[in-house]
Amino acid sequence: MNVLGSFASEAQAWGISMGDRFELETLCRPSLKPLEKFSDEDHADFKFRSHVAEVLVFGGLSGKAARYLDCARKGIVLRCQGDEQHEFLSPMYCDLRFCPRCAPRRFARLYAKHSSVLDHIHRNPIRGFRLRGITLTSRNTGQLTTEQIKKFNKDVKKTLRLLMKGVKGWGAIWVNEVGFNNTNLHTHVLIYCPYIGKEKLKAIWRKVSGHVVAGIRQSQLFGPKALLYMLKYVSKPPSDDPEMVGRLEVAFHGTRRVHALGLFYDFAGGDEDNLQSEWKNCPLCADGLAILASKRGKPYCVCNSCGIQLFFRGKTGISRLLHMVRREILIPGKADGTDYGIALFDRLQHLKSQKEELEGKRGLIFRDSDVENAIEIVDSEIETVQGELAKTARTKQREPNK
Amino acid sequence: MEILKEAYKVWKNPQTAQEPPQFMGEFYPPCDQVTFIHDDLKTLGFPPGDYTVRIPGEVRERYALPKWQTVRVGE
Repeated sequence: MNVLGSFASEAQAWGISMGDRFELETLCRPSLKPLEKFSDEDHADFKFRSHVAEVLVFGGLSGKAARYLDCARKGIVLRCQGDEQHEFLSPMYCDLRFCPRCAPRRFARLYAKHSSVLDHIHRNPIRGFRLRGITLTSRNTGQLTTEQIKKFNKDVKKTLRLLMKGVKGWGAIWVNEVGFNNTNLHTHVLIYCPYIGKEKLKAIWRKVSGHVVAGIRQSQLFGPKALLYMLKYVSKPPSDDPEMVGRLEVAFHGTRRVHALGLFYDFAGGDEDNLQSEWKNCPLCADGLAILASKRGKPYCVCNSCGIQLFFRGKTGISRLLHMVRREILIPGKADGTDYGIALFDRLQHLKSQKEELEGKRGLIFRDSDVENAIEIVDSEIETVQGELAKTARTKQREPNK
Repeated sequence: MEILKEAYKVWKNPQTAQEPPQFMGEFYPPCDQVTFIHDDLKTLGFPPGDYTVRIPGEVRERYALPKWQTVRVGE
């Protein structure tokens, strides 16, 4: 029975609520360390957060206010399923943009999401294209509203599209930013494109938005470092005034702060954190391979040490590849490596879980012949993989005697 | 002690991570006390060890007590 199930039955048997059952669990375990005492720093942090929470409640965001106030103050106990049943406390974070604790975490996620496109640009340069930094600024009205931010982002998008009309292979990412302790809304754009004249940029920005200040410079940094430089604005606290932080959080509610266009848009697919983009291994040397995107946005892999290139073509092929990567059923073709053994074991585990899933679909009285056939196929595949695993293990054992 | 809607509940703290807390039953502190002391549990025949007591809501509200109390019964 799982932990939740056993907790629920115990709580019922003892006549206490589920919440009390969880509290009892944390109190009665001698292995759990007592919580740290509240220091002066914690009091100051709590006061700051309370003030921000008040502004959020006033702005109609009571849910966010509670999250902001409770960030990393509450947690859940995770228990490992091994024999020792180790227990860990995992704090619960608010994940709000302007939380000093969560902003760096968001920065790390965004960096992981977008850095692969910079790698791609670095490996596949286009003649005449460079990474450039554009700054577009709006007039400071002393106020900041969601509508204002949405319009500003629309204007940025329109400006970039007008600038890049007829250009292929360009991409841009931008971050909304405000001045420290003020409402000076501006944006930093990292764009991969051919040369753009400053006057042309200013003219288009003025025509689209009505604002006059715009600047462009060639990025001095290459590859993911350029992104690191630009995304630092996400991790920087925009204010030390709780009133201002609250107002910014309200203004940015329902809008994105980081936007992508062209090549940068959806480069990692639905995999927001870019966690699944590493393919298992090279078929020759078992080295880890990253799935890259070609100029036309199609996936391919390159093993630099072996010189192997793998291309995936056609909608069906690409979707099958993504499906296989996500379900971790790709195995390398190397027949005598440790990685191969591990991959076979992974495959075996996967097949077993598939078999269990199919067995769950069996009817109680009437058997479905299709399901039975599928189970038989999976069974025979399990036997094949088990045989292969045993063979690999025997080969590996003989190796030291060679 | 007056009749309460719910009684004090006592659990013996587990010694290992695997075992759950052991529910000892429902009790009342003697002589109109509002919390248990170690001697009370000893008198009730509890073996040495650490115990967690859940104080009923009525008592907590009336005497501004915390919900949980930890009592150590010595040798």
